[in-house]
This record gives sequence, C-alpha cells and structure tokens, in this order.
Amino acid sequence: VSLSEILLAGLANYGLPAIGGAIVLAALGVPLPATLLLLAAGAFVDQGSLSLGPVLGVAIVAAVLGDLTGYCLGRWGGPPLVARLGRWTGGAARLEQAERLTRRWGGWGVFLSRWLLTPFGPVLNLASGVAGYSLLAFLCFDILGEALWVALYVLLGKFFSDQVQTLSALLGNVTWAVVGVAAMLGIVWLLVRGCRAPQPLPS
Amino acid sequence: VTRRTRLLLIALLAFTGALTANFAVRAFDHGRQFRARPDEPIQPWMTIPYIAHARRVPPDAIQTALGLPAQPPDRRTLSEIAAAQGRPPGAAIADIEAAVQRARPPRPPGAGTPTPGAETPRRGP
Repeated sequence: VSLSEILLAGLANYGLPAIGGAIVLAALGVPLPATLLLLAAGAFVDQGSLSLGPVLGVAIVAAVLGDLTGYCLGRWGGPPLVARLGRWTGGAARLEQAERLTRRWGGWGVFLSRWLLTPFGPVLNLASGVAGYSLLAFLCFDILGEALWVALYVLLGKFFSDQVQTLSALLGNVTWAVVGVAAMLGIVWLLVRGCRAPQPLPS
Repeated sequence: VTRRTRLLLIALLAFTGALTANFAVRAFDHGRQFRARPDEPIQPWMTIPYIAHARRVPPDAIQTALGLPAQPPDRRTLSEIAAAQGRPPGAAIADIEAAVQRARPPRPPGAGTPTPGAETPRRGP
C-alpha cells in the first residue's frame, strides 16, 4: 500500500481533518502528495461527500499554518538551526547570498513558490525566516499564493472529478518542468554574469 | 568566474535541460491521455459513491455487485469492504468493473473505435 493510498483512504474516511493534517505536514517539507489530495478533495466535493467552502477554508488555513511554522523555525530557531541550514545550503557564504536574494525577491518568491514552483516552498519558508523577511509581508504573499494554489487544485479536481489520477500525474510533471526551466534560467544568468565580470589577471 | 566553474555550470545546465525535457515529454503524454479521457482506474482507497460518480453508474449497481444491500449508501473505502468480506481488494475491483460494464448503456452500432476528435464530449466546468 503506497503513501498516496493511505492518504486518500484517510481523506475518504476522515475528510477535513485528513486534509488539514496532511497539508500542514506537506508545508513543513514532509514529502506528501498534497496536490493529489487537493484534486481528490475536489472530486469528493463534486460527488457530494464534502462541501466546497470548508474544504477551501481548512486547506488554506492548514497551508498557511505550516508555512508560518517553517518561517518561525528559520527566524527564531536559534544559531544551531541557522548553522545547520547553512551547511545544507552549501556554507555560510551561500546562506548569506540566499538571504540577500530573499530580501530582494522575497515577496514574489514566496508567492510563486506557493502555487507554481511548489517544490521550493518549504525551503523558502525557512530562508525567509533566516533572512528576517518581514512577517507581515510574508503572511500577505503566503495567504495570496496558498489561496490560489488550493482554489486552483480543488476546483480542477471538482471539474475533472473522473480524471483525478491522470490530472495529478499531468500537473506533477508540468510543475517539475516549470521548476527545471526556472533552474535553467538561473544557471544561464550565473553564466552571463560570470562572463561579464572582469577576469582576474594571471599572477 | 574561473574556467572550471564555467564548465561545471554548463554541465549542470545540460543535466537540468535533460531532466526538464524528460518532465516535459511525460507531461505531454499525460496531457494526451487526459484529453482521451479513459476510465479512471479503480483503486482500493475509493468509496462506492466516488466510483459510481467517476464511472457514471448508479451506486446501488456497485453495492449489489459487491454483495451488499442496495440501500443505504455504503461510504466505506473499497479496501475496508474487501477486508470485511475476507477477500483481496483486487477481487472486489474485478466485480465492480463487471458491474460497470453491465450498468452502462451499450455503444451504438458503428461506435467501435473512437476516432481522433470524436472522443466522449468533455464534461465542462
């Protein structure tokens, strides 16, 4: 029995608590198929087992709670956590660079990683906290992005309730393709910047 | 940027490009599959109302096929029903597939193989 099957059986048996619990964990970085869960929840809404309003409300609140926990861990988790984050991301210099990027692009980064570049979401929560990004701004972009993500996937599941598994596979691959394109653009930017920078003179 | 760093970045770009192309091809395949709208495979986590809705058949036809009373609606998952009956979920799924075939109206004559562009009309939002 796969993790997805356990999660979907939980959704069928327990409804909203299963949605809330799984989405909080997924926002914290636990690898759960949250998008499949939202699509399936939309299908359950369409066949009358769940109501649309409570599903949207619980999923948005759960996602924001999970994100906020990640942010707080990054911001107030203390130097040991920051040091560990530094090691994970390639050293103190790299972490400082990530913090500068978060300060500059934080809002849009948070917004896009909620619904489009979702694999970056949990890391960006921690990085935003470590960088000391404004809590109010983080919450505003977070709520906007999570509301869009939840509404998009639940409504897609509702409208295409007889194709949830195929739709989940399709959207999963599209998401990773978009993440790949974003990563390629980042590498190209690094290459172009490197070519324009003055070359060190041979000693 | 040193020559070594640049070469590493180019290698990383090529690797990321290959991965991205792989995901794009898989997304294209799933998109074609999605447009063809095949029947969604029945899974053990599904409930009878869910299956009935996805396959557009009355729930009581599925309940009867599983040896359950037609009423009241049974909201357990298929794996729970199969476990209560002491058999594997696969056997229950086979019974449901047979019941779905019986409950669906027969295809009109000449509608054997669907042609491109003539799939089942998409159920709109």
